[in-house]
Amino acid sequence: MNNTRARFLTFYRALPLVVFLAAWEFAVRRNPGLKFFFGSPMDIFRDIYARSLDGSLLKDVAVTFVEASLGFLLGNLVGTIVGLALWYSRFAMDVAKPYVVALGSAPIFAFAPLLIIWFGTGLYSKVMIASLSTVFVALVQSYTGASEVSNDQLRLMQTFGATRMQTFRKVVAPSSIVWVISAFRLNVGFALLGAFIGEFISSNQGLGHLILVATGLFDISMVLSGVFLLCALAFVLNFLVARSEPILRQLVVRYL
Amino acid sequence: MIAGQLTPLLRVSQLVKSFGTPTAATLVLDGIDLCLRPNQVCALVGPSGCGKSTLLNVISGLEEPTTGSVEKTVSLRIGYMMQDALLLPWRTLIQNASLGAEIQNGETHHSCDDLHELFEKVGLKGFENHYPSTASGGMKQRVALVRTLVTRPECALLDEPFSSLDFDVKIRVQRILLDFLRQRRMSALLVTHDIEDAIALSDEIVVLSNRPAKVGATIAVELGIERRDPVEARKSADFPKYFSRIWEEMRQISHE
Repeated sequence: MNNTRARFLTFYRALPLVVFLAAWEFAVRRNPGLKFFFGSPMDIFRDIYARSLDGSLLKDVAVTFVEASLGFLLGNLVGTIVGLALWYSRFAMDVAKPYVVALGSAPIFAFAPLLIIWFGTGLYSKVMIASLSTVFVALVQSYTGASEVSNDQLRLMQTFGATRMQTFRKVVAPSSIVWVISAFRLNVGFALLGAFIGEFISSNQGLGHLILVATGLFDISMVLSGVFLLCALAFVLNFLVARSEPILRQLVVRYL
Repeated sequence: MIAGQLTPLLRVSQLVKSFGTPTAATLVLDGIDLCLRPNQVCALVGPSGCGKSTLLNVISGLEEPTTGSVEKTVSLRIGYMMQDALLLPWRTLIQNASLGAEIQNGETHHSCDDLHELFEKVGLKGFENHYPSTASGGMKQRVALVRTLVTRPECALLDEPFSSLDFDVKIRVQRILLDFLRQRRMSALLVTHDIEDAIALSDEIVVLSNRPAKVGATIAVELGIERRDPVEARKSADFPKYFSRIWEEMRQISHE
């Protein structure tokens, strides 16, 4: 029964995509002039196929993947640690609040050119842009998680005479983990966007670079194959985050 | 009598507790006096909402008295079982039960001596690795009781510890509780609305009035049985006398 439903669902999920691609291909073939503006699914496929044979595709994907995931890890790590640590001091949080809000809502990508000046045109600057675009989300989420801890649970810890550190380890950290993980989910997109924008501004490899070059050449199919690969990367990163969730949860309960 | 038996572990004198602002204060406790001696079980009975839980909160130190005092012997270790089980949802039942011992003595659920024995005795064997979301109210309450007992306090404050238990389970748990208190030479202050539980378990019963709570009567229970047992106590000839006496006290004080 469940199996049938799963197959059913897969079919209906794939249906809009297939219809869309078929209509696109059909329209472009009927009117070849449109190809200049819209490319065609077959050309995108051919492009991906050809460039995966010569290895350049793998390199671009790998570069963007490394930049985005390093930025993701760094940004989330710093943001989560700072956000949870602010739980210790109401005062520090009150002081930090306007800054966090201002920086969190500022278009981080406006800093991107600056970061390229500071960190060069290589890997570092992209990692920095990606981490800067994730760090505030992680910070705000983890602080919110820490401050939403149930008062009753805190009172319970008080009845045991727990120290602030013990309360943090046994209650605050595990109960914030849901918020931290939701930050991770949001940040997959931001990390990719950060890496992409860094590449778009200045780089000689990666998917952002590929799309920039292809746009200059008016090679629409190549641009869209780059977009497709970015989507695929986001998919993979999301999958990894979802997989890490229960592991992370267990680690926190076991070792804290 | 031994001198040590006369020195109370805990003495509450003229305790007043009110909530709210000084101009619009709600008086909850109005001059409570009580005292708890070593190895004694004292029950607080009274109509629901009369402020019994507030009294325990003040005694445990979670809340400050408005006036009056709570004197404790130096370094008196208090274990407080609150009315809600307050299990942490990310911990298994056995991990929840060991929380207090973990915090106070750095023990884990593997190293905590009484934990597995008590767990088995209260009928939770086989549910160690279940999570609170799958446990019934009665199971959670038993976990909370075990959690309090394994910290081996000198004085246990128990707030309605049997309210979610079926009769047969309740009798079993009461028997275990009395044995445990006797073996470890612990005292307990038991809050209950159930007069029968109070008579069956305690050496002294303090009857509280409607809110604001005052002490209506303090009744010593002498059932003439050799060893306190919840079933033997209920069978004893004097049990109904105590029952009617406390019932009358509660009625009188409520109508004053």
